[in-house]
Amino acid sequence: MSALEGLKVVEFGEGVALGYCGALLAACGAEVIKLEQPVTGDAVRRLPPFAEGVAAPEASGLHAFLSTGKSSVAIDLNNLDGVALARRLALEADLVLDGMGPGKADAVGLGYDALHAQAPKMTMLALSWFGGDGPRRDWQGSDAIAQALAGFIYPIGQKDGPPVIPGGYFAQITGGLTAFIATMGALVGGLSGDEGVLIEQSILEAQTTYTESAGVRFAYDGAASVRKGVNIFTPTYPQSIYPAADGWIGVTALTPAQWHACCELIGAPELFDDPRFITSRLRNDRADELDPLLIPLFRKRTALEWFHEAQARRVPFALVPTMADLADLDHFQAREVLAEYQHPDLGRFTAATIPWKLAATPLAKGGSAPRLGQHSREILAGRLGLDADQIAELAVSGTVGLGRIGS
Amino acid sequence: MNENLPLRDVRIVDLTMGWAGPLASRHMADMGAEVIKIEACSHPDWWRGYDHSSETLAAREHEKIPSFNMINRNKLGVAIDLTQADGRDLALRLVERADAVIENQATGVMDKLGLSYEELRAVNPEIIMLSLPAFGAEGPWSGYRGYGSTVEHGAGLPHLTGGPDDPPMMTHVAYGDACGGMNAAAALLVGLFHRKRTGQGQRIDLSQVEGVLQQGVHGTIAQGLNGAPPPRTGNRHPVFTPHGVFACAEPDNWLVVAVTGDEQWPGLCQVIGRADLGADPALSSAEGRRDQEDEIEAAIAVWAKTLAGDAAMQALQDAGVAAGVARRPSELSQDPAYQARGFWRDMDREVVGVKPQPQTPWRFNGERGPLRRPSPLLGEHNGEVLGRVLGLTADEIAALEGAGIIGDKPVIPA
Repeated sequence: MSALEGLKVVEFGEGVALGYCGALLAACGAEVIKLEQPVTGDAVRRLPPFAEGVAAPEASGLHAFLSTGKSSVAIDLNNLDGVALARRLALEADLVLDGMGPGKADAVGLGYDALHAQAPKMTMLALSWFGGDGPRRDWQGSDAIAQALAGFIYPIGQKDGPPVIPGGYFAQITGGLTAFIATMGALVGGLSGDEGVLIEQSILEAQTTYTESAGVRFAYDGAASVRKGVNIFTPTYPQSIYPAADGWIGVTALTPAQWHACCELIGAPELFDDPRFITSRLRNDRADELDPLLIPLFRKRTALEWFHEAQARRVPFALVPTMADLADLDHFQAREVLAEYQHPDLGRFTAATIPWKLAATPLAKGGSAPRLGQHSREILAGRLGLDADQIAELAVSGTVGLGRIGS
Repeated sequence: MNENLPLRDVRIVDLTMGWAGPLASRHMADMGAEVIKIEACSHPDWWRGYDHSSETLAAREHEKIPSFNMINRNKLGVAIDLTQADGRDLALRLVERADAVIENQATGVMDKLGLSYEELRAVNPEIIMLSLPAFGAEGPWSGYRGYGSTVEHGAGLPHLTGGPDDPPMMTHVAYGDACGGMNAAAALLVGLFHRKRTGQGQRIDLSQVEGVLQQGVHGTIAQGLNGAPPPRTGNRHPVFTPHGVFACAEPDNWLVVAVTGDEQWPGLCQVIGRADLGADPALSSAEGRRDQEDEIEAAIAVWAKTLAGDAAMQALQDAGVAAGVARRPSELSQDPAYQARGFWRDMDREVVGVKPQPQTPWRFNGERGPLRRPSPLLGEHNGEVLGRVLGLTADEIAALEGAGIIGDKPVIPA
């Protein structure tokens, strides 16, 4: 049995965070119906990575990953008939995920108050960049903007700047994961007899989880955050990445015992006694003096050798695997970190699967992602009892999209 | 006090320390669970500091750590010596009355203490036990240890940040911890949901490295789809153009600009005083702009240099353009936009007085999770927990204290 078997979820709106929250629910066994606009679909369909040689709107591997295990129903929510269909699906659901943006679901008649009146047990998540109120409510967001405002990028990069934006979808994955936590909390409450809940959450505030301690610390010591350089962060060192004979080795040596073992391992026991580097803080302040001594030593052996030998001495070194390396490392193979995903146009590909290992209720590993509107007929007929003529009529008027058939 | 919160009837025995595990248990506590945090006088949470002397302990420095005080609110704290048989027995009796146990001790420690999953299940067949080691509880590297930095390294994410000529770039010294904690909270809630529906407990194994890898999932997708990692584009974006970080008038004040849709482009040009660019049909699409990205960035840079970051951000957002300053983390508690949404709230705690707490990033029916109690002093709730939860008498509790099984004063290990 899957942990969330039988849980009915309807997801509408756009974005990576919303999609990721829904993907986590689907991987845990929930039935997730994703509503998308006919023709264009979710904006995530226009975000990379793209498969070479596949046409829009099916080319995005990111979208396929996020939609795996979901049903795709294409309904035009700018159209009253479309909204009526969406509303019927939402009223049947245990959980509705709304990523339309603040106030928009209310404006079309899919907001919490309207649905709750008829479905008091239904819980709804309203997810947005900056939240449902406040001075930034209607601002434009992006992953980089959320990271910047959350204080995440400021410490990254060269001392004289500019700060560096981590690639990909960092804030949105975090936003979706945090939304999942809140949602599951509410669902557990539902099992204790609670009514449905409106959950409101911003991606920005979720991303602030990484940096909030600095905001607290400031109230204690008034010290401003600094940017010290690439792979140097206060207050300890080395906590960095060095070139090895064949790749990169991640080095962390914080405590005196770890630093001692590290110096022994790299054949420089004298460094441990060097008063310039005697504390982790001094090493951090004098990284410019320390690195020229360490770099030639780390170049002498392979990353894998450093990794295993340091760990044998209880020093937390790590390989820094490339995306290609991940598939070849025995540990990741043994744990099935990568799983197979498939999509009618993209074919089969591997990607990092949702990683929680619940012994009694294992999560889906990989799976199939739908084309835009692939399940429109099935859901409209099966869930809403529409007949073939009614569905055809909705398709002709553009209210629903029925998906592309064949290859 | 927690009667309306969704996890009001959940009890969690918390053997986590540092950031990752305590973040997960804070999320539980913020949603109403009774979280019993177990430390020991000889092994306090290392986030209370790990270089204590008799002087620092006399000054109660271990009660003054901002990050500890932020991450352990709403929890009960007991200090039990688990290496003694009577201490272990107390822990097992708490487990008997709990729904879940969460731990992030170094690999092997729980077994050594006689608190393995099998031993916990023997006293409570329905218990959930979640462990979050760096590399996971199974597999060739399961015994390997790591901090947040190790976790970031181990997932390979530094290869996804920076430009083509940069070394692999770490993004934060220890965000891997927070990521691991979020994944742990999520997985634990799935386990609790299942347990509540079926009565079945289970073991949950969570590798922090694999949790963090989700933050770079696009890297694995690109590799899997096309046999190559995503291009390293520095501060540029593979689709949005322009997309970059620009210096403002004040030193070390930076503005991020991200034109996430073609409809934002004319507004950007208007605000930066370059309507000529906005009128150029060749630049109306992101593809067209990419050919002239250097020139466009130069135009934005000239404008940004004349303004304070916040003013520049406001001007662009007023014109519907995605923009945000690169806030210093230390400035977050002063940011008026966070304050307007009630993200920070003051809380009084012994030893440190009134200090800010970040609120839950979610609201249930408009309410953030309540601040019910400050982070526990070491052993603060020994009497309450052993009395109320285990039914021990005051005499029995005093005897445990006399025998050194429980306590509230940290001891420097010999």
